[in-house]
Amino acid sequence: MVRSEGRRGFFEKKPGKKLYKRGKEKNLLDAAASVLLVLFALFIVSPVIVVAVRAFSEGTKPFVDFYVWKPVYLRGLANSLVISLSASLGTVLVSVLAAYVFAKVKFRGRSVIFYLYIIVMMMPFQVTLLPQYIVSRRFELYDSPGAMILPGIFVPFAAFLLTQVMKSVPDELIEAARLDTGSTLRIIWHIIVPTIRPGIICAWVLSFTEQWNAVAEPIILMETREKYPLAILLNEIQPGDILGFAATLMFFLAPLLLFSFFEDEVMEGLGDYGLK
Amino acid sequence: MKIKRIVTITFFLLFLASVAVFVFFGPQIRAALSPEVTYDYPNFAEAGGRMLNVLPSSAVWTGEDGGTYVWKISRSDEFPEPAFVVNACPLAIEKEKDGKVYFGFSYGSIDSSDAVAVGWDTDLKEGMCVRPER
Repeated sequence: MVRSEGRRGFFEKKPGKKLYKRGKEKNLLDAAASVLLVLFALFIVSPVIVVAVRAFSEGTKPFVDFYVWKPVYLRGLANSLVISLSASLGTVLVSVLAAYVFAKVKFRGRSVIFYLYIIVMMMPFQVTLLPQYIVSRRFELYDSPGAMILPGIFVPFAAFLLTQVMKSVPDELIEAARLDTGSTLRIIWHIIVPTIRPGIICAWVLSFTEQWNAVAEPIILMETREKYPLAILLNEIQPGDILGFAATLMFFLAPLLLFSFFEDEVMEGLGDYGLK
Repeated sequence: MKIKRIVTITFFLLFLASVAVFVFFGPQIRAALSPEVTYDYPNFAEAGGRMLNVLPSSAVWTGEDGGTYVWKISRSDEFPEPAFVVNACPLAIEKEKDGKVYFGFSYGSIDSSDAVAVGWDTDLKEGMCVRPER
């Protein structure tokens, strides 16, 4: 850290002062901090625990109702899966190509377009909701899963994240690959994608979660109840109805399992690349 | 770490498979789980100088409150396939004779166009899906 002579950094103590307490006092402080953090973590997780306990309070009957006797909620779950998987996979495909252009291809106006991406990314979704409605009407996608999937594919966040990831790929690697094959798509598929696999998975999981939790867009872009995702239908369940807890548990099972499976890649994608 | 991945992906695939199975084969599963009931429509008969509805005595059951009820079978729009559910309807019996019950018209009860369950093997519950057979 570069600093002027005679000035201390913020965390530096006066010479002779102990930065940390040693021995028993340090252990007590650490233990107290650990207890506080555990309590805080339990506080954060408590709604999930409450939902899980209440969902199983009547045995498996609420889940039998969810799967068999209340098929509208199961259909909502299926709609959520279709919309989220399609939109997130499309997002990754488009964003990898866009990220390659932003990170590795030099052309006039590249920075301007990239900053436009960032500006659009920072806009609240309500700003683009009306244009999405108009476009869905114009393309006759209104009240169809396409009205959710198509706008969901072209989200700027994934391109932004993958651009940062792709900047870490050495240019020499691409130049060496170009000697073997002149095809850019083959270079992307065979060289770049395996190299930035954690970043791609991170972008995919985050896009999936964003689409999964979308509430306002389906209300505006769809009107048939059978096509609603489960996020909308959860509002219709009566308070205190155990089926509501079972449906909520099923609702957050998919992103929970995905995140659990890809935890390492998501952490690497957000941690290592997000800091750059 | 590897065990965690195997367990997680197994659960996720089971989750996807369960959703797919119940979405595509839900009607068949519901039909298999629904009890079969025999139904009939009320007939007319004269009793004591009045025209009354007639049903077999097997259609009538006593509720927890001591009242007499029948199971009315009606179409349900809750399911993607055509399905029938039973709802309890009160019945004011005026006369019972030779295995038949005679009742008049009353608000909230059944009329001659309503299908009524006259025989069932398993206990029925309000709103339960059934497979009506004549």
